Amino acid sequence: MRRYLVAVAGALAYGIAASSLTAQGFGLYEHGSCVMARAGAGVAAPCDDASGIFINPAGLTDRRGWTFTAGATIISAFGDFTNDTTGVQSELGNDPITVPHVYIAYGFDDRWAAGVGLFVPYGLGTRWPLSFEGRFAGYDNDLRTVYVQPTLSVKPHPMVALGFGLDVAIGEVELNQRLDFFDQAVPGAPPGVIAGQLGIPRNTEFMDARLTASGATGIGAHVGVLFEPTEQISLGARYITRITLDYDGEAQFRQIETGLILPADNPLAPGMGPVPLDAIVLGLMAPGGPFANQPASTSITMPDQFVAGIAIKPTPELTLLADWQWVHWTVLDTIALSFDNVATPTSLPQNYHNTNGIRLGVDWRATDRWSFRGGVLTHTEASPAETVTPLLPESDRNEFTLGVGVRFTRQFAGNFTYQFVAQNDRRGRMRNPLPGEDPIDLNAGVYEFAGHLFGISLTWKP
Amino acid sequence: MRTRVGRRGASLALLTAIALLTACESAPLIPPLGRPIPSGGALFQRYLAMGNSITAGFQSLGINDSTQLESYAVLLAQQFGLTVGLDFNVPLMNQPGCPPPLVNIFTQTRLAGGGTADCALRKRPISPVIHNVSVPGAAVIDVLSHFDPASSPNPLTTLLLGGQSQLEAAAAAQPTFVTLWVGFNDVLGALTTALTAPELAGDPSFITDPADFATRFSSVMAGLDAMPSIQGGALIGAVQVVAAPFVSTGLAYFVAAQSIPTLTVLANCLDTAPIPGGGPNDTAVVFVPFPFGAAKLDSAVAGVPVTLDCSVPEVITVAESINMILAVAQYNGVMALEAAARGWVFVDPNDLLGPFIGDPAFIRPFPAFPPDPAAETEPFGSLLSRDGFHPSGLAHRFVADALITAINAAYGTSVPNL
Repeated sequence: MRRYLVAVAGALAYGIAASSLTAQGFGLYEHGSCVMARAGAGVAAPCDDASGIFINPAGLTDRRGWTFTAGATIISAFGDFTNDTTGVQSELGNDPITVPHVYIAYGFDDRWAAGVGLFVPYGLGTRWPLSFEGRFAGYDNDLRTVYVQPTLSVKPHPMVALGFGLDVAIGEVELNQRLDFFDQAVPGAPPGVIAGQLGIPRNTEFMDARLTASGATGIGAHVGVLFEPTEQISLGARYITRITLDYDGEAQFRQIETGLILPADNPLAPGMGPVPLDAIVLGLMAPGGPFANQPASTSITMPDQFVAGIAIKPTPELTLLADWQWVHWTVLDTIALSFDNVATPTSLPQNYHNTNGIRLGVDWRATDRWSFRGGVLTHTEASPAETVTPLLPESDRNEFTLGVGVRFTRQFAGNFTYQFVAQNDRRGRMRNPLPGEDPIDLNAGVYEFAGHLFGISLTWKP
Repeated sequence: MRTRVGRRGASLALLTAIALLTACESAPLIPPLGRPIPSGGALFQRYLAMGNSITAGFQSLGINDSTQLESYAVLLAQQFGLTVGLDFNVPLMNQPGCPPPLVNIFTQTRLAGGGTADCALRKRPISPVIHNVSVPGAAVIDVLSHFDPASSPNPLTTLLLGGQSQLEAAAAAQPTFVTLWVGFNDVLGALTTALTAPELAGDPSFITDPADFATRFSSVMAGLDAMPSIQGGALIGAVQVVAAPFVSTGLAYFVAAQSIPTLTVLANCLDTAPIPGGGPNDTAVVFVPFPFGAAKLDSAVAGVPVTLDCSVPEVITVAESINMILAVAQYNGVMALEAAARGWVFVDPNDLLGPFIGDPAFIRPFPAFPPDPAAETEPFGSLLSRDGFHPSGLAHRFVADALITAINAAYGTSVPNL
């Protein structure tokens, strides 16, 4: 009986991990429309709004008084999966997602500044139709991790600025998946025998599982440095620490009627007449049983990342920027998830790779009123070939940005950006492996993925 | 001045890098990596086989992954350019089988010493999509539903397809090309009852009424018509079950009695009658099922005087054999019409196997009995497995080749023969 819950645990744990990666892969680096328009390049030259709290905490100096910046990025992702065997194509059904950002900064003098920012570095979801075979790995998943970051910047030398932020991360997650009776252990059968070996077809959904958890918190730090040897060249770097979030939530189960009536004298009920499969399943939902509603918990580590960059000003109006970003995704090599009705937590290997990204941007201040920006970025995939799933149909990506900044008044400015995410097609799987299965053998189709992002930020400097 | 030049150089490098990255992105993305078009052509991209024990690969009253992979359906798929386990998935059974096949019909020994109730279950990994959805024991009604009062599900019905009907499993595979071989089991029960209730041999209640068969078969075809992915198909007619060496003619026993003094075969074993609607040489005869006849022969060879009286219920009379022959002929007429209506291929296996009937090398007129070594290896001939009515691997090759020839002729394809 325990196998039932272990299978659920595995699938849910995987879902959490994958969603967090999705956030990174979908470019939730977009926490300010100005720097977004430069393809996220700006660690060496943050924009003159308050988004430096995120892009480089050292970048708040050289300002006096208040700066308020708020905005959002709207993410419209689209994609599909084409099954190798049937040729059936399932399309992602994501609605556009809005990701907010808010920053407040105050410059005390030329040397000291402080601020606080709120941004959502991990916060995308995936929604697949219930007709998609991958629904057993997750069909409707959301993960949001809000970072609140009080920040202090100081300029100890005219050419050097330092910044420090304390990150308080608050996470919540909702994962929905269908369960496949095919995977389930058969009561009374020899160990290791699953219902599929008795002929139950794969994709026989018999249960809807929903995991919700909120209020997970963690603490991290964010440090940055800026070095400006000349007026034309600046160098910058920042490092944000990893943050581990402990999620406590509830797993809820709802029976899905299969309508299957097992023929008489079948191996699940030898010597008996026709047996409704749903009656067997109902018995598994009794209190204390594997599919009774029950508490569940897990921990997820948001990876640390390091960014270094350079900014060059060939002319006072033109800035060229280049950033290199490294994200320590290997901290998420294994996920453990516990259910109350299972004694041993389930551990699932993820084997993610660290990722590298290059961001190149250009910022042209055409007039005192108008600025134009553009950029291109590329980054490597975090997931290895064996963990390309409905929850993270990820691959190497190239992205392009275009943006405009306009100063409406002396105090009020706006930035508007469009970003296109182009992902390479990649083979992947639709389900989680059973014990003894090599996950890479389960890759049974091709994921295609892309996205449109629209960013807006408004800044007020009273 | 040097500083200014350096700055320009760095700026140029950055701009060049941006341009290069942009150019790189303008190249097409990696194309989809789905399964390639098979060598036989796009028509066969998702080939699906439906049917009964023959198509499932049942041999010698058993089934395992070895016998399954000898099925003509697997051979066809391979000739189409498909790969078993990748784009042609068979619900393989673990060794020794479910049940293990007979290795000796006379001793009733099965593979690995197994019994009739033994089942080694499905072999893993199990594909989500099955391309050979055939189920041993399936009559035409079983292709439609397992739960019709006329259906006859068995443990293999569950093991291979769970609660699905063949049509449901077929729809999941989104087939582009289908072969369907049913009809055998709509008559065979009248023969195989000799294994369990010998006195009912030839009983017409085991035979599906041809009108019912026509209705049910039309429903099956309507179900296939509702699958828009299907671009073509082939129907294989029912085999005349009385041609299976599981039964031998009364004449064959009469001839055998010439060399066995203790065996007496009565004249009623030589009864004949013309087959209504048949040609001048189409004659129905008396058939003696193997279990009944073998027991008689065994006693006679042991020196016990035995008389074979073909008026007993264990023997299939001329009238009963005519009933079976006409039923199969009508089934095949229905199937030929359904195939023609869709431009599908129709292959009559009786035309294919007819030349081999009575040839001891292929389909023996009389089983090989011990101590003949063939009694263990090929008691009914090389085209039959050890149960006398399921085809051997060699017969599957013949069927596959005949189908390939017919399919190429009908669809203009160039699928290589075996």
